[in-house]
Amino acid sequence: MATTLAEQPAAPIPVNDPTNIIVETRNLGKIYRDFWGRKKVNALKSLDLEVRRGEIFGLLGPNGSGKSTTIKLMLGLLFPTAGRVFVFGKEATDVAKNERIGYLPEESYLYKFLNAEETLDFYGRLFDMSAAVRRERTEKLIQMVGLQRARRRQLKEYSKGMTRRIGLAQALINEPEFLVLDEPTTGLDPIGTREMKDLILRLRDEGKTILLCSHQLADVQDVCDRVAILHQGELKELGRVDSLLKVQDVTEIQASGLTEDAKREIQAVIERHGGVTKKMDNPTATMEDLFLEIVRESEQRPGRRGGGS
Amino acid sequence: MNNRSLGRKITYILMIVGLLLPLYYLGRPASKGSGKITELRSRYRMGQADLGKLDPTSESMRLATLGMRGIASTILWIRADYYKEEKYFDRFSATLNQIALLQPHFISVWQHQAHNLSYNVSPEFEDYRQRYEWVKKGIDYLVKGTSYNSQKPILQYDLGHYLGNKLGKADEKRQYRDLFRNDNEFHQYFVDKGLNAVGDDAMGPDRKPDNWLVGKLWFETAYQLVAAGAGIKKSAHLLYSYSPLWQMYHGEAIEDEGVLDERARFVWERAGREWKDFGNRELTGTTTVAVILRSLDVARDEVEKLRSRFVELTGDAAKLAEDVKKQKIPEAKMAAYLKPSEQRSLTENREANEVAMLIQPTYQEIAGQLPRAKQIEALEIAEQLGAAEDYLKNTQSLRDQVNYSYWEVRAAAEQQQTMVDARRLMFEANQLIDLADIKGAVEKYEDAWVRWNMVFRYYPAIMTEEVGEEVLKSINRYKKLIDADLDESFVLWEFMNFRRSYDADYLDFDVERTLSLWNEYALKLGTPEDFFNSPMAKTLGFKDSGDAKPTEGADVKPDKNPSPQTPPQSTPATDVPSQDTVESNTRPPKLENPDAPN
Amino acid sequence: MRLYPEQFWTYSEWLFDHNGLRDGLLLALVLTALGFVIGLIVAVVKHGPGEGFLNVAKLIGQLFTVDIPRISFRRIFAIARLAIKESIRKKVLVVVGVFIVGMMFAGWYLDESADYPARLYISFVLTMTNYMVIVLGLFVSCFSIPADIKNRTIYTIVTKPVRPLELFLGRVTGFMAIGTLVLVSMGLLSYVFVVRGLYHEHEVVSTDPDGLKGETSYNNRHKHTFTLNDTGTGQTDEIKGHSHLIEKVGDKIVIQGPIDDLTARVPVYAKNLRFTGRDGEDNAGYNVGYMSEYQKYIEGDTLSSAIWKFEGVSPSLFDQAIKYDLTISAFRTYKGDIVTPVGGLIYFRSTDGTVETDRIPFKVKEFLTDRRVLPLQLKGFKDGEPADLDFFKDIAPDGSFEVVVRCQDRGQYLGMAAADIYLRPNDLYFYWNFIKGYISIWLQMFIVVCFGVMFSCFLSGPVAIIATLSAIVLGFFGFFVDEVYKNTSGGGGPVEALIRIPMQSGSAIELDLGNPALETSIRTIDRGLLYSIQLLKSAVPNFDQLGTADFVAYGVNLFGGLLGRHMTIALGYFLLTCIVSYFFLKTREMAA
Repeated sequence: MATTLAEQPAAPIPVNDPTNIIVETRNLGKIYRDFWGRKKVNALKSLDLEVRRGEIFGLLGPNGSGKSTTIKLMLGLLFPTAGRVFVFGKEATDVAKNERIGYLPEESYLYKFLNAEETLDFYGRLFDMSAAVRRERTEKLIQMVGLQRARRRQLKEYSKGMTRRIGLAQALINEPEFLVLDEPTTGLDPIGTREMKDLILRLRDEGKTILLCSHQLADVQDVCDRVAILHQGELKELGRVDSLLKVQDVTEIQASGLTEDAKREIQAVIERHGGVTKKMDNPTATMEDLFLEIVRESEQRPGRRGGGS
Repeated sequence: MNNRSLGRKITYILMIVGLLLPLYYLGRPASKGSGKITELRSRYRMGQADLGKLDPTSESMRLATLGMRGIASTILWIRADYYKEEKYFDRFSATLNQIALLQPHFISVWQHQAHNLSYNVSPEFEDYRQRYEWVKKGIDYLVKGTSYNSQKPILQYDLGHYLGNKLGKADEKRQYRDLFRNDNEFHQYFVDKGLNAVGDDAMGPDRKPDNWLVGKLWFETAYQLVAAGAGIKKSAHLLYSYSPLWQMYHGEAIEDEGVLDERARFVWERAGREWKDFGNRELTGTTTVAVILRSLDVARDEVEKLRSRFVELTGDAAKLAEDVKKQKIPEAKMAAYLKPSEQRSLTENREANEVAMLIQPTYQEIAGQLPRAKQIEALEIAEQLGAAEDYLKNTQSLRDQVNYSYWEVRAAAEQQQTMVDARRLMFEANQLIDLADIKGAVEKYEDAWVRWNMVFRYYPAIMTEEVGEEVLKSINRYKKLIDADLDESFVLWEFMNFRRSYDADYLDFDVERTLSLWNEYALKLGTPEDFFNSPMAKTLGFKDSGDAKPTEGADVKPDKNPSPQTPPQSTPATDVPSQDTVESNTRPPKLENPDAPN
Repeated sequence: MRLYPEQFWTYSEWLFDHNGLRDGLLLALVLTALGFVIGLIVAVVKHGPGEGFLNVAKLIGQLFTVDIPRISFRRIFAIARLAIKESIRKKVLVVVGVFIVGMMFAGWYLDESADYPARLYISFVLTMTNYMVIVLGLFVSCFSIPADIKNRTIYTIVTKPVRPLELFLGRVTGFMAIGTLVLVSMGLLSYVFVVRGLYHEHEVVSTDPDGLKGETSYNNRHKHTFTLNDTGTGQTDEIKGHSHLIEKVGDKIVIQGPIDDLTARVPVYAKNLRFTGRDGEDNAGYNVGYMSEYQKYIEGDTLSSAIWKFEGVSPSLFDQAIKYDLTISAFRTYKGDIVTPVGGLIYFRSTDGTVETDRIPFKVKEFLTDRRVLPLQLKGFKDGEPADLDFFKDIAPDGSFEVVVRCQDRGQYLGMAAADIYLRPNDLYFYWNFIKGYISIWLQMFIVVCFGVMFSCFLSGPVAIIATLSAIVLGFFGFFVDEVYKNTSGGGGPVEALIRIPMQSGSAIELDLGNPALETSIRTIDRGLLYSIQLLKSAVPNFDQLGTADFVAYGVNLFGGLLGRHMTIALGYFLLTCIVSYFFLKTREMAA
């Protein structure tokens, strides 16, 4: 375990049980080459992480940081150039694992000429489900994602949000244990985003393991149990969201209804104890702070942040 | 890296523009000036609409190949070759139609494949009727070609040849001609395509269209196109000879088939007229100066006149000029030249000939030897003389190429009642042989020989080609009938001798000179009317006019001791089955030839 | 029509007697070994010797342990249905419209004056259908998977438990379903087109005084003559491959529509044809100088003869008489009698030669079918003595007999191939033969689709099209490749040809660049290129041979054996493409 920063055994699930590790990457790397075999991009550099049963794991990073590559490697859509990736303890290229996986791609890549029912029916068939099961699941999922009124419309007429929802529905057709969501909230309005987040949390509560990748920090902050932050193909941070955001020697004070005098008084107390008042303001989205800090630091000093080297 | 790719893109765009600019410049509409392509297109009549019919089938087929017309037609050619080789002839012809649709303005396709159909595929069939059908397909193909290529008279020209030569000269010409005569649908097809194949000009003696005459009509269509400015890669003298020639072949063909009366004479009369018109035509293109074939005598006189004036004017200047030139010849060569020819070695002989050529002064050089005062005039004449000589030479050469004099004489001869009679008698005799009437046949033959003798005497030239050959064949049959060899008492003995040398092509036998001797004699016979109508003509021969006998060539030894001749008897040819409209008293008298064994 | 003896082998004869099975298995073995070696080399280059070998072994292991056993037909059909929907959405059914338009203008291309219009009509529709469905197969099959990869819809497919083979099979099934639909519509349209196009009527234009003989009107570029029998019925003569039935109804003579132009003869061919030479010695027949080696010739008025041996002809096929057809041709060394065709003699004899029929004279009907009848009770010779014979008792007791043909005219030749004489017991329905012709086309489309899907598994759409098209072109013009390779067509290989074009040098003359070394090197390069093209050619299906349009067009029943062979070959290519696709899909990064 390479995590050094704020590693706390907060997860309720025992880590050392191998059946509880859904995804494990070992020293995973991917180099894209051009037609002539020349190295083009080093998209991912020796990534080690694991996703544990029952958690919502967030992959975080700016565009081009290697999030999508990681997901594609896990799904067997790409083959690693270094290291290995195991899903349910099997090679990622093994087709059988797909029985237990649901995948919502970045931009629901679906057949635009099918309607919602046909789409779900088609994917149901790919899971070799009987007609009855397909009917029942289709019905349930359409209800769940709220597409009852658009079930007979071709997907090409769908709005962005509807497309995301039908995408999610197809990812759930097989009632997967493990759900991979690539940018689940992009293109959604605030209400849609909220609904999606609620749905994700509900799915976690149903016992599904969820891996989501996003560059929307708020999403990660709200729903993820653990996050990994990637930048330029390198893992920068990994850990529980709360501990990552907790800075040890910074005390945040939040209060309301204080007068200017009271504030001055409090400041005096701090000074008396030898502290320095850094900020006394309304708090900001701290995930963003962390993120920007990582990016800034990483540009000055490549490599795993804080620990390791 | 971004900059580099931007730079590359800009380079590409510049290159494309660079290539487009000249194209734009050349391709502008002519009205804007400097539309080079438009200009060229209209000059060479390459515009689609100029080429001929715009056919939706052809256009759609070309479009359907999506610009891969070349590949498509190559594939079709390969297919066609395969079909021909493996004898899938129906499909072969269907493929040819498709090729033609892809390349409708490619003349060689039409020509080549029409030839394939008419000349290569048709002989594969066993039944002559099927063969005829395939010859027709070739013709049909060419006809189709004409509608796509209105400016290419070569197709009409080919059609003239196919209809004439292929149908009229093949081994199965009798059958072909017969099938054609009765092929009403085919005639109608020509009519539909704009050729009046059922008009008077196309009708043979039986009032049905004749292949030679229809062919002739195609030639005339070609001439009209040429007259209207379409180009054709054929020499004028050959091109324009075909129409009258086809008229003559038509005459020959109907005579072969037994039409031996006024109708045949009429055909030949027309042929003669047309041949004369052809001879009077100004033929341009082949030579620098337009040539008129029939102006040969005038041209010859002109040369003579100029030459004698020149000689008169220059006197011994020619000798002087030659002497000047002799100065420049090296000693050794000159010595060879001066040696008597028997003593020269081979090399010397060659050298001597060379010298002879070198010392021959030109007219200009001769004129140059004259005093100033006379020089100008002499040079002028020299120039005229040179031109006149060139013209004479050209005329002579073109005449030789179309065999002008032969056909001129032939047409004249064929118009003579005597020749028609001679032919008819021979034809009837041949028929009598088939009926096993030996005596009748011999009599007819002997009647014919006398007439042939007259014709050959008066028109010696026709002894040379087909006519002579036919007569010779009949003589051989006759020989078999009488079962004896012929000797010099045979009335056509001299003709036989001539023909023997002519056929064997002896080295020392000069057709020209022998014929000119015969001609000299013929010239003394007066007008044809006088000659053929005078009873005396029958008795005339070389035998009693020893001063003008043709004695050239080893084998031509005319008889010096004329045999006794019986006086001519005038009997109307009542034994001839008369389809003839001519009154019998215009007939030449019949003559018994005592020389012939009976 | 060109029919070679190997085309009338039965299926089992081909499979066992003529080693079809052995050669097929051998080929499969060679290809497997080749594929294995190539795969191994690639894997070793990529992953190093140890892991490379392991990977290949794993791949092959998975094929048999998981990927084949776990194939689900539901998944295949789901993908197939999707392919169908996709094709319909891409408006592939428009080709049917194009086909109709093509047929509307077919009259422009068809030669009405042909001797056998039926042949042209049928081969036209079949060829057009053939090309169109092949192009259709090409386009639908090549773009589908690449399009999925480009739209990334493949992401949602391959992250489902879909096996590579299912992906391939699903596509092929779908495209074939849509292709079949198109083909069936084209077939129906074609059938109507042919039947209607050939239908025509004649009027009676003239009869002789007693009203029994006459001539019909001139329609469709021909006319017939006819003779009625006492009962007032009859048949016209055969012109352009058909005749008409004629009936006298009251005073009127009624001419019905054409018959016999759309047939499906079921010929009984001889097992072999041998020749004897001028003095009766065995030879291979004479060649009279044609490029085509199909027919061989016998010389007239000599002992030269052609002998066909028939085996196992069942008497039950011929209850009244033996009907047989001749399609012999003639070659004249001199013109001879122009009006009369070259004549020949034909007679039947027992295999031991002791019993033979009288000589029957015939005249050659070049390029036409001479329909003849031999009575079962006939006169002939037994041991050299004249005798009355019964065909099946005396001549062919076990169904085996020989047919001998000689040429009568001195110096002329008769030409024949094994298929130029055949017994014609009965005719099958034309429509059934027509359907069989379409099955042949279906097989060709099937092969094209298999190749298209295979190439699209690892190439982008346009490149897959080019690859498939190259395979098709090689398949159709393999004979041309052969010719160029054997240098019988002249003009040299690709490089030489490229040089010749700007030089405008004809193919009949030797290439002359004035530099022997250069010429030699060009030829060497060409040899190499041609050799590789030749190799490639032998791996692609020979479409030219798979085409059976001729059978339908010429009214010869398409033998079950031949169709079976073609099906087997198609199946072979299906398996080949299946396996190749499997390995490519399995080893391909879908998101790359």
